Amino acid sequence: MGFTLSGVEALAPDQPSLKAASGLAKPGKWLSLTHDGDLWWGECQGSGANPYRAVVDSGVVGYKCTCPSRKFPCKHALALMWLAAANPQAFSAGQVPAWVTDWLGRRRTSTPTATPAERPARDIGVAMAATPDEPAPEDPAALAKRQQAALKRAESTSAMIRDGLDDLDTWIHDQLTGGLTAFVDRAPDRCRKIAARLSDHKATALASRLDELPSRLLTLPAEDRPDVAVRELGKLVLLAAAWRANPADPQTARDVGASEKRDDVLANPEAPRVTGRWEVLGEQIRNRRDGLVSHSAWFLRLDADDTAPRFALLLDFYPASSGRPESSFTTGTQYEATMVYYPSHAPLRALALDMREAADRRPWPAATGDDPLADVCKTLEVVPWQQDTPLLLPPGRVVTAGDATWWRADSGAGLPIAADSLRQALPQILGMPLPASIGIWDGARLTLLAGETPFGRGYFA
Amino acid sequence: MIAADDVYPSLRDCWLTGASAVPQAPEEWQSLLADADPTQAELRLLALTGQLRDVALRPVPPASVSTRPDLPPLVRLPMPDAARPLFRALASQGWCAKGLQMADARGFRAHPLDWFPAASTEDLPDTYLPWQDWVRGIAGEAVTADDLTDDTWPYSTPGARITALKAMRGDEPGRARDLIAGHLAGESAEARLALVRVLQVSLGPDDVSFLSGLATDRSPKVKALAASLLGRLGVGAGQETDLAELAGFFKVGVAGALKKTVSVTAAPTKTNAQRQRRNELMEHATVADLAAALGIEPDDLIDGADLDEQATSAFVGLVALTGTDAQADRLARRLVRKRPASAMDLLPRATSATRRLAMETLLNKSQSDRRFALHLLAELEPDLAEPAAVIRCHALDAMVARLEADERQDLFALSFVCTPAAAAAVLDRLIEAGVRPHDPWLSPLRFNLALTQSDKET
Repeated sequence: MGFTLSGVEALAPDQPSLKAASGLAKPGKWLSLTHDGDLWWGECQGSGANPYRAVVDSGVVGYKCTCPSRKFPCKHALALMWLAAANPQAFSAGQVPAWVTDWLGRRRTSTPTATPAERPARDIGVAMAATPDEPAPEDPAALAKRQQAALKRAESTSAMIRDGLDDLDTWIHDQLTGGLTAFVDRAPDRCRKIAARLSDHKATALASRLDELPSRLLTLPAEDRPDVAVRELGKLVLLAAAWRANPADPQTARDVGASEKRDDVLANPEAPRVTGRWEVLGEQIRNRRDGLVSHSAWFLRLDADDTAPRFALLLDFYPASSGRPESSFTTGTQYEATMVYYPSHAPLRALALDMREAADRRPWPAATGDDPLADVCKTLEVVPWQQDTPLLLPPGRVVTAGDATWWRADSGAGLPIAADSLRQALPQILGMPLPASIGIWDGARLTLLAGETPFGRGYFA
Repeated sequence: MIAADDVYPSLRDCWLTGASAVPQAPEEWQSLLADADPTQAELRLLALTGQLRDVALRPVPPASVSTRPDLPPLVRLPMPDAARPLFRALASQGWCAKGLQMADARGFRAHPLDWFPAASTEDLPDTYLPWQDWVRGIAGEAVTADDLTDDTWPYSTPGARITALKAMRGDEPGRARDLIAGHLAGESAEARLALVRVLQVSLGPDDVSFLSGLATDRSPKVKALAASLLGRLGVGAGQETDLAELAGFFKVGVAGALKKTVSVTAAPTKTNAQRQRRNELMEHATVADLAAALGIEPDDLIDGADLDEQATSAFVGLVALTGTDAQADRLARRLVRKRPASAMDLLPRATSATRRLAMETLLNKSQSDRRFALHLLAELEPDLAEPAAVIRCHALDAMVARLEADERQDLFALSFVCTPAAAAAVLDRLIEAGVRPHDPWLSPLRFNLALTQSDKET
């Protein structure tokens, strides 16, 4: 059984969804469109870093999309059905990937979705949705007025952020004169207040960073907290100074205010693009205090060329109310892909384009040098307020010291491991030399993501 | 050059107490602070200090770190990359043991970050015993059957000993038994049980004396195991009076055209109490005891038993516990044809050929008969089912016709008894019938197939 446009109409939750779906019901909007029998799936570049993955089943009607929309079906699922109905030749035949298999395993088919005939008639129509919006003729005066208003808004935002940063300086100085011991003890309350003030001043990213500082402190032993306070407050001073020096710099603007939109990054000729073989190292899904869930997917580039960035981070945020995002990737999978980096002096955050699972597997590049933090120093030279840095570590192993675990290089250098980093890998990880491993250094602790072991490559995240 | 080790703690300690750190700033930084007001100078110093800590100081592992010895290598290839996510998914659905067993039978082992035994994990494939020794913190040498002697015993790990002793039982059963006998007293009850289990390999009359000596072992489990092994060797422990009473519950006759075949039937019983008494007596007898009490050879008892359902059940229990492997296999083969469900208790001791026969027969029986059998066979031995046996069997027909939860559980079990060729054939049949190629219910079949490749990085 296939889809029909009237069926798509009947399934749409409202006319705006159908309208949005009509815009996406074009093959060019999709990174991939594949089908196998009644299953139709595809990857659509949404506003997130990870492409949204949608699957629809035209047999026992069902649909699933990884986007955070609360509409069901969302515009991506509707668009996929629309394409399956109107343009099935746009889909190539292919093997069902693991994420679709997982969905099939989880879906409940005991209560079949109502067929279009069973649904009450509603005032929703494909024809209406497909009618292109006529662009209104541009009135030069209105355009000039709009541009002037935008400029004024930008100036106003800039002035607000500047005021917020002045408040931040004063607040940091207050913490120093009040004593960092007291600050560490009362960090949640104090950080919450200044974060709220910065948020009011449009310094949203900075506000989130301050909001997360107490949880960073509290996961550490008490004796380490003052060091992290010095480090983090010092970085905030540097970031504020960098913004004042050049508010237009994309990195400082992003780290203080708000991130660029996805389309702006993709359209930006300054955004570095790196095409190559990438391996999924792991994903981290975290609840934040500001009500968002952050979803990080870490990638390692396997090509020999050392001039391009070695790592890429696909980072998305979802409202916690939309439910916990699901894993997008299977760790260890290798892809041919292009990473488009957000402009930065030390590119890391990226958007993925044209991802295709690789048929063969490539080994990791070798780590160079004895100092495991050498790459951190390089990053801090150009982005001194950077928090997390991925590291390709030289040969070493995990050891214990009391309740703490350390990664220790064969050369003797060592990094303490974050308490929750190894999860199910203890105790066996203690019995494995790690000829290479990859982790994220946050200035105080290492979170191990993956390691080469004598038994093959293993993943911790 | 700034001595970060000295500068950093002194500046941090000022801020800890709320004091200004500017007077403590190193000479090299004074010019950077000179043109700033006191507040800005303090903030600049804070920024510089944070950066100094990040780039100039390194965490120092405590002097007292402890390291564990390396995990011992296992005598198996790593599970192929394609199989690892499927194995993790199966393990999360409660099929870990079967996944490990199938991988083991195909010569593969799990990655220790995908699965690792706990100190308390029971019924591990022998492959993983060295890892269990490691997790229990038992140090020692890996030994082979050639290396294991009284001298090397103390230096070898328990897991390595078990593997070596099992191999030794194949070629030199007496030497293995003597080694076990010589060291048993010094071992824990759990270790003694594992060592006595080794005698199941190549169990023979020469083991009787040693096993008889275990009647006084402190562990009830060891005593029970020894008694069961003795029973398999025809050595009974039943009282003579009880055996005479038990014999009274059976009638020995002759059957066949030439009246030369022994026939053993159950004497009619009038009450439940009589039937219960008969079954109780069988629980304490052995095959050899009963045959002797009936005045016939044990093999005639096995071949001639023609019992009602209730007596068959007790008799199967008797043979499963105290019959020789050959007797258990003979009875299983007989029952598979007539009363397949009754043969189940005997299959753990039956040969692969009999298990295969049982499976082929049961796959064409009703669901209630085959379900338990399939799951039992999946526990016992992978690679039993060839394509011809499964591709047109009733069980698969039923799964194809009605792929719901119950049938799918059977499909999981079936997947673990299929050879790769059979798994491929079943997969094709199901897909042909409309099941999607990557339906998660096909995962065990795909896992089965993935265990035929090995990986190579390019």
